[in-house]
Amino acid sequence: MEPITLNVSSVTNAMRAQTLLRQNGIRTAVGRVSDPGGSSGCGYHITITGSIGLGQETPEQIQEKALRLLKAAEIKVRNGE
Amino acid sequence: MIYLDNAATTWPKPYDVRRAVAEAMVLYGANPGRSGHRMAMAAAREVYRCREAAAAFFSLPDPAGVVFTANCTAALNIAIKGILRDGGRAVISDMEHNSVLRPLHALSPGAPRYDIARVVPGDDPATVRNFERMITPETRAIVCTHASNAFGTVLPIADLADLARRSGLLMVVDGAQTAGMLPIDMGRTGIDFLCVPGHKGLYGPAGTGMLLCGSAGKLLPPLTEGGTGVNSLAPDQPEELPERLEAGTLNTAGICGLRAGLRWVSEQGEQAGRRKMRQLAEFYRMMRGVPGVSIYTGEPAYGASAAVLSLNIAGQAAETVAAELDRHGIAVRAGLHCAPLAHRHYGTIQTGTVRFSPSIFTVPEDYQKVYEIIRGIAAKTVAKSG
Repeated sequence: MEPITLNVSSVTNAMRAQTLLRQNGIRTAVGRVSDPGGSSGCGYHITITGSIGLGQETPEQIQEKALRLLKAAEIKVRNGE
Repeated sequence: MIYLDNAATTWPKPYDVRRAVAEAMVLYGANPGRSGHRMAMAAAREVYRCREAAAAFFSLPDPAGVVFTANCTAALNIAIKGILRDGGRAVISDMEHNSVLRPLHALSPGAPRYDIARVVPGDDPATVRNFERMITPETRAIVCTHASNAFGTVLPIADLADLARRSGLLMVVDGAQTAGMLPIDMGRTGIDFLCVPGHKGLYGPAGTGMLLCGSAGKLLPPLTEGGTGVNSLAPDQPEELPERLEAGTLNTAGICGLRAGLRWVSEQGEQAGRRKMRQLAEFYRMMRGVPGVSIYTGEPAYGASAAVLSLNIAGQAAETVAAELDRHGIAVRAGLHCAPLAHRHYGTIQTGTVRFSPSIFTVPEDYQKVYEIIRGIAAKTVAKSG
């Protein structure tokens, strides 16, 4: 699937998000935001790279699930809404 | 050396801790949470793993509530000064270390903004009633030690946290002498802020500590502002924990060592702590049998006291006894232990005491040697006065 990138500010939030999504079958990678002069400023992102055992879901469904999980965990996503 | 100054800092450190620190200096030497290169991300991952380990150890639901500090004192300063920044008062015990008393004193240039509740050793309901009597409409928090660093007296922090909750107050606990030695469950007790050193009962390196924040952590303003690796465009500290309270570079190698310490302490299990306390109780009984030795507390017991024992020898200054012990290769601490309130409570403010504080590595043979030297000092004093 095409990677989906969500900006989550700090590296701690990125790793919290990664742990949470992995526990829910969503694979991610953590990286540094590449547009520090943008509205989000410096920070980290998680990139959804795939899912485990969820082959029937579309990328949009996976993203929606990820955003729902992150919102419930109070992990702010800057560009995902 | 027989090292009985573990209430100050534990020594030796377990091999796993020393190895973790050394490895971190090589493998995780970048600054976590700043750059995006491989080593920086690896360092950030190790730091996060320690947050996870600490959150699990103290039953804190969210690892983001684990804020790394230089030590327990720094954690207490963040909590106390954050809670009382805009006014209000705190209730503290008469056993507090200066790491609680001095920040409150600094906030009180005029009249004190704290009220002191008398601890009744062995009578938890009476202690709680004394705290309750000190609460006023201006009180915002109960701030108290879990156990006295000078005398080992344990406070009923679960009951005090319940009192705080019923009274609409925040609960701040100084876990300097109990973290890693007695169970502290933030989830069950409802403690809002738990301040712990990494370098005592958690057997991590000096230069590590933690402020563990429950849900009230989001209300705490930072004590220090600076770089966090996040939102560099914004002049304010980031809103989210832990970065809001962690300006500047973290002690990555220390944090890796702290994680190893948390794991090592978990592996030792409760039986190691119980064994340590049984040995200390045996030492207590040995000391009780020496003429001229004064002890101010009851027999140490797991759960009822921290692993410290204070005493004096009649006719000998505490520092003199400590110096004599040092000549025999025994390390202890003498004086007021940065805890004048506790010494006032036990009537030793003029003399101080000699404090013995073992670790998991202390063995009965260590106590036997101490006993022989103390007996010799006491006997000489009795002979002189006779």
